[in-house]
Amino acid sequence: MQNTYLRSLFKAGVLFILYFVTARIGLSLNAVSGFATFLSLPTGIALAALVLFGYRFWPAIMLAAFLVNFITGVPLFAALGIGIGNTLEPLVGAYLLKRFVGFQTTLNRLQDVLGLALLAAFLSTLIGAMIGVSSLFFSGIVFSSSYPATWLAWWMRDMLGDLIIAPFLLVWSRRQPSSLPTDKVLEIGIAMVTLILISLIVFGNIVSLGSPLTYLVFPPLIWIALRFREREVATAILVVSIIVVSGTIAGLGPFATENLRQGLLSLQIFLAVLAITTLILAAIVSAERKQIEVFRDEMYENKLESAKDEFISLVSHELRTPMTAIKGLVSMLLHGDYGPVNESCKQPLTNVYTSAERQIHMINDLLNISRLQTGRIRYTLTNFPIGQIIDEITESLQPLARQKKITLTVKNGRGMLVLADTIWVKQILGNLIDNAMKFTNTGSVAISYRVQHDMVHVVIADTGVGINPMDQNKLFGKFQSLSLQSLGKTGGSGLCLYFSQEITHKMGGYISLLKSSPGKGSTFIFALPKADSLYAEKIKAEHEKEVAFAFKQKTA
Amino acid sequence: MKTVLIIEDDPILLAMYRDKFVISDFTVLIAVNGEEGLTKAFQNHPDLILLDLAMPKLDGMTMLKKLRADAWGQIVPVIILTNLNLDGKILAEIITYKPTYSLMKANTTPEDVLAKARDVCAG
Repeated sequence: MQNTYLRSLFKAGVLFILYFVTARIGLSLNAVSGFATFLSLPTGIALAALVLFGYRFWPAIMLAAFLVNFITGVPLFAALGIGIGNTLEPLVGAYLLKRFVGFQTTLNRLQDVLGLALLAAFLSTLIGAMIGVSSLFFSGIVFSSSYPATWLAWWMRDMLGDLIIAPFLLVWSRRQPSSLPTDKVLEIGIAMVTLILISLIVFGNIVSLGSPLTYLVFPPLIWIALRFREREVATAILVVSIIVVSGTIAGLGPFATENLRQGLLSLQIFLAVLAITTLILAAIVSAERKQIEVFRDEMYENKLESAKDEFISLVSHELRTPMTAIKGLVSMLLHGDYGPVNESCKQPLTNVYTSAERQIHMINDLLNISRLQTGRIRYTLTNFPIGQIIDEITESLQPLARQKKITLTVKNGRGMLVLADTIWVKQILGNLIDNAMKFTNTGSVAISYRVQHDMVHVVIADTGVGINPMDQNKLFGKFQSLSLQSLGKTGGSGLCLYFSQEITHKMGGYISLLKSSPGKGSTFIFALPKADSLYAEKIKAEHEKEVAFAFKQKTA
Repeated sequence: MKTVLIIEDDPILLAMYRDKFVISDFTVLIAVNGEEGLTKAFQNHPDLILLDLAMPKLDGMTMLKKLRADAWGQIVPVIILTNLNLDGKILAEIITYKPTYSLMKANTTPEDVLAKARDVCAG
């Protein structure tokens, strides 16, 4: 807290000093009516400070603006008026930028540059000029005859402060995401040297060919705007402005005419046009560049994802093929397709078959996890009777139940509609019931249903080996079946439950272990949103939004 | 006796499915790529085609597309047997060519494939 306060105080102090010193230098130039200068540094500083640090720093501006004028000899009332005008001006400018443009100090959007030019430079500066010149008028320093010229010069110098100084401070106040590469550093060096040379030739009277040459500064400025970022552009504008103003003060260049007022106005208009044109051009180029970069990034990301997908798919295919042969041939051997099998060989062959199955499960699980992690798991939510899927699964498992001499029962759940993806539900439920069968050697596996609020619970209860309490909270983590092997049963890859839980969550459901104790069995709940419930509608709407977003991203 | 055409590029899997169907009283024709499969299909008009997808010369999907362009090919039952993941684009494309079944080889045994084939031939 103390630290923040001190930091704010320090910032206010720096702002006060900067404003005061630059205003004092400006006043010493004494161009028109003793108060208007070519370009107001403090105006740009004040606007940049309030945009960057917030409105609360206005007292530093007010105090500096008042003091600098008062010390110069301006009467108290006029100095106060100028102080108020010069404070209101950046306050209104900063407010308008924030309120109507959502101003970003990067200046890489057209709306920011246009906002800066119209709302701050053109509009808010009217306040400073009006209050300032009027204060001088009422104090008898500016007469009615010189009022319009003083007002115009005041307005223009403040406008240039907002157009040249503020952008420079704003873009340099931000941390640059990356530095320029060596070839770009060389290029900006050449561009800047060219710009400085041309500016010196034109505005330093090195070659005196008259006013048409003033526009020679535009090609290097356009070069910088097209090829570089806002920092380089704002710096280039400032460099040209310094040379132009210095040349004119020294009585050199096309703007140093005998009619001082006319020359000053021409110079200010020239600098305003130069600044606005270059900043607008830079913002347009920047926006285009950004779009291309985003597009290129997306293309690269998509290509990378596709390549990754293709690779995983290919590897899975190659891994599955030999496993298919092992599993298939052993199953044929066990089935007696190649003649009777010696009794002593049956168990080892069964072990080979089980191992092959495990390997295939692991490959499938790994593939699913990879797809889950890359967000490439697709699912479609529809209403369907969950009982029908369970009937299909249990029907296919009845031969195994008979073989193991356990009962596999299903409570009638027809008409129990859920919202989910049928294919994934079939796979997840298949795994859950298959696991229950695998871990049960005596007794039963019973499947029942219940409705709780907006959810349908499928309850899978077995009288199998149960799960050790220490393993229960790790059940849905990755690679957890290794510890379950302590139960003396064959585990899977350890990814199956993890994956099932993740995909069930995506569909708005969950899997939980209701109860389990070693030797007594386990009861799992597989919960899914009840069709047409409020919760199901919410899940459906969220999924539709996600799908639409993914589609938009793909087609953008 | 029903005739089945098995199109599979992996020689071990081809032999495995061939054996299973021969034992089960099918007349078995074999092909090792889509091109050969297509020729044999048009020449022999089998009752059923078992089709792998990832194959050299002519892949299963293109073969199926060409098969479905033919009058007889439009109605012949095709069981896709693949170890590729059938999702996204592949699945959408497969559905257009109306296979009777699509089975993941690794998740089934020859017995399961035979059961499906009998279903198809009986239906």
